[in-house]
Amino acid sequence: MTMPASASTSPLLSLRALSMRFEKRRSLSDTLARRPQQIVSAVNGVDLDVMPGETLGIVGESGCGKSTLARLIAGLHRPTSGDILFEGESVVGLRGARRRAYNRRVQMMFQDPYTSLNPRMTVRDTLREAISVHRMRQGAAIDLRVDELLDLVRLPEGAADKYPHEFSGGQRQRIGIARALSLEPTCLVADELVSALDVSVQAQVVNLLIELQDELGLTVLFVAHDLRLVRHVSHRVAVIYLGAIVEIGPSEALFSKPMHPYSKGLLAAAPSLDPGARRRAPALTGELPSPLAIPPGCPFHVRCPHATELCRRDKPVLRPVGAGMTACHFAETIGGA
Amino acid sequence: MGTQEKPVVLDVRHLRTEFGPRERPLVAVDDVSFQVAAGEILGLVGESGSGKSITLRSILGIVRPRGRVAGEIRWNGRDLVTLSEAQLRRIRGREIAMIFQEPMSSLNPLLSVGLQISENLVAHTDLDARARKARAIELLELVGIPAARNRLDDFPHEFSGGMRQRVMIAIALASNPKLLLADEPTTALDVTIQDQILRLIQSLSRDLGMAVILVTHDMGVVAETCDRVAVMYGGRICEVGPTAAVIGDARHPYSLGLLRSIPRDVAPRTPLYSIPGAPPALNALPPGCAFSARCPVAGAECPNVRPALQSVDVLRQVACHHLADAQTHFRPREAAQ
Repeated sequence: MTMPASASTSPLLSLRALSMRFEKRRSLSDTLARRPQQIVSAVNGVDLDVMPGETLGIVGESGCGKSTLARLIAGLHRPTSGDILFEGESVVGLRGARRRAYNRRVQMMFQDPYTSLNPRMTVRDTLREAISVHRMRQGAAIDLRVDELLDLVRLPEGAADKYPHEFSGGQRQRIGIARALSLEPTCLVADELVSALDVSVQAQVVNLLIELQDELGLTVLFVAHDLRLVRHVSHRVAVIYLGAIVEIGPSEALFSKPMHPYSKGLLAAAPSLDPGARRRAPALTGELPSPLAIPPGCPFHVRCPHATELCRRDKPVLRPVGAGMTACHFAETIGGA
Repeated sequence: MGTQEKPVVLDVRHLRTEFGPRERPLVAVDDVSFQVAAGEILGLVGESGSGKSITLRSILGIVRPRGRVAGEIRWNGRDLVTLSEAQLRRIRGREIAMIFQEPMSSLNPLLSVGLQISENLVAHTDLDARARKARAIELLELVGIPAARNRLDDFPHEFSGGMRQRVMIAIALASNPKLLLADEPTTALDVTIQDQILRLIQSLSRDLGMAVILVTHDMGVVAETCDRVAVMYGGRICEVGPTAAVIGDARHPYSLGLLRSIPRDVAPRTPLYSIPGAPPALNALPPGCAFSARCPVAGAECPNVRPALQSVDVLRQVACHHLADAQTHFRPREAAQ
């Protein structure tokens, strides 16, 4: 197992109290009735350091804000408050050439390779466009680079002049990876990269991603809901609940001994392959509350079997517990159990 | 196994479903036979295009008129294949109910949930209006919708994804079906909600003695929910048996490969086993074993001679010419891990 750079090196990417709120559009009747403006708090004060060469897994239920977080990092949203530091420099207000330089170095890959590739462009055109817009190569070197990239993601020869519909899902996802790599990025943001693929094909794409990462020294943010895959590819994992990190720590430690009651429930709910480990009752009851109205105190207290008066009142902060960090007042007693 | 003592409610023999022109048919389901007993949950697992959903739809005849169904589907002393559309309509929803992956697209967005349950009660029971309302509340409570009485007048968009799937199940249960066909009922849901829905289906099957056929692509879902499982590939069953036996000791090279490609008990970030290639297209299936093109132990005869499902022990059947080779091929890797 290749470990990321040691703790002494400085982080590649740092998020500081990062928040993203979306204002819900007011309908005419809302305005007439003078209902207050509704605000979706998608990301609520996330602090996070990502080390160079590391794979950080991000997990959570749908609507927890993990995709918004990924899009913030890729620069697709402008945060409401907080800061994103890349190699120690704030990138939130960047414009012009420096914005483009950041955009080049942090590349995003999407879940659905069919809607994120232009169906009217051949693979060669798609890659050429990326390469020439960012002036990565000139003239004849562009086509050489296209062949090199397709070779890198193991697409068969002759793939360059085909259209996206001529490929299978797994191959399309490889094209997405090739497009991201064409800009020689430092950091890849993979938002549900393999979720749309069949299990037998998922393994091929995951193997490729790990291999490329080790070969090119890439930093990867791996956003996914498949916990087994996240455990397999990640060095560290962050568990997100209602837009905030509730637990973060080394992958193996977190999966073998989760400290936060939400992480515990989430891991237990994931279907295990052991037919002997069947439960009659669901691991976690209730659903994710609406991000329009985040509960006071600990946001998880409404679903938490251990919640006390303290949890309803005070929001726990992320603090060191065991091998990682946990935001729970009772992590020591619950995590040990 | 307990299921053998229970009466078989559905007996499918040599089911074949094809589409397209008769002279060059696309065979989606090819010679599939299986039985389901009362109170039993049978899993149909496979990748996209393996024919698992079409098998399910063929049972209720909802692949007609474009699809041509042949073979025998024995249900209550009748053969569903020979029934007319009008005769089938009396069975659909009453004796055999079905739920789908996307609850939002199978619910009518313009009708309240209470009305949609009543519709089914009007069609299949003799209850009067007052009794129907009481029964609708009872059904919503049965599937675990909180404050059911107050939610009868709510519309589908006012429910979350998990709650909508519960509503779908409530509608399906309205007529006390003997068999529930569930087509990827949890694929669109989070693991935590998936867990809740699967536990619900399990308890309904147990308490009401209802047989269930659960179509899924997730071996984990099978392991946690099904009593028996049939693994499908290229429109055929390649292995069928009790869940614990198939998952713990798979025999067919495809089931072995599929299980191997799921990360469990492997060192993090090591290459995962991946089945080479992609699932075959329906118009490119070989006359022999459908898996032969991707199979690591295929012999010269495999693409031409179709292996029959043969018993390997009392309850288990596998369709493969090279069972011993498959065992030796996959064993050493197991030891290496």
